[in-house]
Amino acid sequence: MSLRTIFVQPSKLCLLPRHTPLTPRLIPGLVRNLTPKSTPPPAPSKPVGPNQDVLRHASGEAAATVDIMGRKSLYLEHGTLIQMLKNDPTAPQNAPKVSKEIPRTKREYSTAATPIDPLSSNTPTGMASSTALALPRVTSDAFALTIPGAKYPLPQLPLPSCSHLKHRYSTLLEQVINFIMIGGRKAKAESLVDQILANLRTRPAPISREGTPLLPGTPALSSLPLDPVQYLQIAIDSVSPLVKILMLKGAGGTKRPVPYPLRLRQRRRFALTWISAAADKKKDRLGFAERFADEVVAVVEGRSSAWEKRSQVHKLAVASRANVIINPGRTVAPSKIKFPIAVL
Amino acid sequence: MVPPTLWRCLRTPYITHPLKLRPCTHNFTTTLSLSAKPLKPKGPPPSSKMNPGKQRTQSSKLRIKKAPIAVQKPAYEVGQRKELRRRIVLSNTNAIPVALPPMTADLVGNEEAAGAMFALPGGEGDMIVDRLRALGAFQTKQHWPFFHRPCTLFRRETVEIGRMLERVMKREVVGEDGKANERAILHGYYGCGRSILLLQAMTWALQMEWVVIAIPNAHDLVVGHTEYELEGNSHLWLQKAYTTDLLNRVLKANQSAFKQMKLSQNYRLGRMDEAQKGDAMKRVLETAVLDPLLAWDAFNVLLGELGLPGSPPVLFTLDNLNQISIPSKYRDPAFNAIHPHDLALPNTFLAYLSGKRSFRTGITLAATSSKCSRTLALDAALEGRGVDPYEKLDPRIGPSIEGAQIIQVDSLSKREAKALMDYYSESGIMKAPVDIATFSEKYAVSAGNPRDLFGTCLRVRQ
Repeated sequence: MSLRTIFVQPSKLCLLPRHTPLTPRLIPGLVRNLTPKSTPPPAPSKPVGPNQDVLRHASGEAAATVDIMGRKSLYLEHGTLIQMLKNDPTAPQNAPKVSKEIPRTKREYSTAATPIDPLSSNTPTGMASSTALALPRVTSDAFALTIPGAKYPLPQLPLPSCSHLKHRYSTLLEQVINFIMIGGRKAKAESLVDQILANLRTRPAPISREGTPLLPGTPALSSLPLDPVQYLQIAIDSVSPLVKILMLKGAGGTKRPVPYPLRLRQRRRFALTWISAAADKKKDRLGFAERFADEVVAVVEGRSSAWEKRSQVHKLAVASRANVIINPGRTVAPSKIKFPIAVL
Repeated sequence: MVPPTLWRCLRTPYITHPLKLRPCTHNFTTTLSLSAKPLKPKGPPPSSKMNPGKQRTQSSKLRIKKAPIAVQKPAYEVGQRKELRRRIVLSNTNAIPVALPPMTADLVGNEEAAGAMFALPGGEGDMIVDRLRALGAFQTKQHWPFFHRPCTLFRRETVEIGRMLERVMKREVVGEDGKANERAILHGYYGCGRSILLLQAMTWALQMEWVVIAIPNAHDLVVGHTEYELEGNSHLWLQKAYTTDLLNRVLKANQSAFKQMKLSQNYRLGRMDEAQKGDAMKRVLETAVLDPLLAWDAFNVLLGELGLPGSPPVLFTLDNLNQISIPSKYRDPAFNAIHPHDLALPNTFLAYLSGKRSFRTGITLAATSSKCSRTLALDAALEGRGVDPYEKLDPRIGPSIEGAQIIQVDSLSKREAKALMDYYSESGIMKAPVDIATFSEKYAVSAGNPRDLFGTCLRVRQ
């Protein structure tokens, strides 16, 4: 099985909410999915046809646009062939044979290759914008409305994780800030991160390159500059390695490389180190924030040297997978298990 | 066998005694040149293998050669960093364009428009944004680079400025000499939008074909970076290089207005040049821009012509008024700091602000700034309290702004803040929906200050 080379399925590498206990039993994403040879591979839930992901036809697309814009469109009324045939009495005579038949035909069955499910709303929560809250948009009437007798409505409990004064940023941003900080100057680091995000906002959107293993579930790259935190997160989480290699002493004075899996925070730290190392090598004497933002764009576009470092680590890990220590040699309480090493 | 070194050790050392006579040696030879040994003839070079000289050169190859000293390319060209620092970006293609009505001249003094966002008029062929850019109306750190196109908020203070423009246009405030003038100072807390209000006034004035003269940052006048010289007659210090620059910008912004202005009399420019009666103002300024020696005279010609009947209305603005209320960095020959009111350009502006000089139809607008060291005398003057005789405050500051209307720029009202936050949200750069909880939180944290509101909505660090 080719899956054996992968320690954690990339599709499971979604962001965890803050203060999530990283116990593998509770989070199926962290438990390694071993596929025993006896069981056949699971069938895909939906057959994937060649026509599944294509764009809709012109009028369908126009209708969708109209739906988004929330107003009537002249395009739909005038543009479609059927409308033309309906409006113009002379048109059917000159129309080709195929289109003559279309208005009268009414099929009672669908000819679509795959049954289209109703649009499900459960998009991966991890990839949802870290700044966005899934609250409905409040109209102006509701805006004026307050609870009688109270100035503001009651807060929703439990309070969101970012409501704490000292932990108001997302976990990722806090880690980036602390990574950048030198000599305890946190305010300086925060303003640098701010500049990085502002830089990501104003830069042209990244161009996707074939073969860049970005995190699954990444939204369209053109939408990234509007959510710079997500932009940064995609860059860091995509390029972060799954394992680190430790050199253990082997027999006869040799060293044997042993891959160890990493926790989310550790993985991000490796990615940050690589990104900032690549940024520091830039020949242009730009400011730190500009250099770093440049490198983040390079990561998403797949031309950063961090990708090479990542693949190097992964290759070595695959080559030395025989050295993985499966039995740690001591009993560990299940609640103390922090990462999937113990279940390997 | 005994090694020869042993015998050498036993030999008495050859040491010359200072008192003994030295062995006699000849300093020159008396041998004839003909009887001297003949020179070796130059033959073919000996074979390289056996040549000891060649071997020596070969061994010298092992020595580490010194790398040639590379001339390091400078990181930035001269002035490149300043250009980068002052570059103004007015659009962000990533942001979602928001359809907003343009801020046209018929909105002047319209009370109902207050509390809504308006885009600066900038279609094809409409050069207002370019003209504003030439005047230096946009500043860095005003958050222009985050949005698709420059848009501003129509505020209560904007209405007030609009009314002022209206009064002057309708000539409701005509003085005894037939001149309609308004003078005002925009004053408020940091980040409350004084410079933006100046920008809005300029936008309207440019659309109504007024002549707009703008000093975008008074700090440039006093910081001591431009050359200066004393003019004998008025005992004022001229800054000719800065004046040339200013004229250039004013000329770029007001091309059409200057084309129609004709000189009413002959003028002398500098020592040699003359401007004839009936010349277009545009031509006079175009010649003056090329020569710094003519710039100050040309500027005076312009101001003089604008005071005559039949001249177009004028908007004269200066940002960062505080900077010309503290001692300048310039020094006179006795090395005393020059008072900024003795510099010709600030002096001229303050003459218009205090009403000593006036345009035929015009508005003089100044804005205070928060990025300046303490200006106690100006603060006292703005509050309208008299100077305590025991306080050592500059006595020249108070009279310089006498009679100017002081417009207090306040923090945003809730309606205005809501409009601004909706604009952020519609531009797609603020992800949180603008509901009552978010709005109240952001409004409370920023206290309605527009700069802080942007910070709370969009920045990591406020």
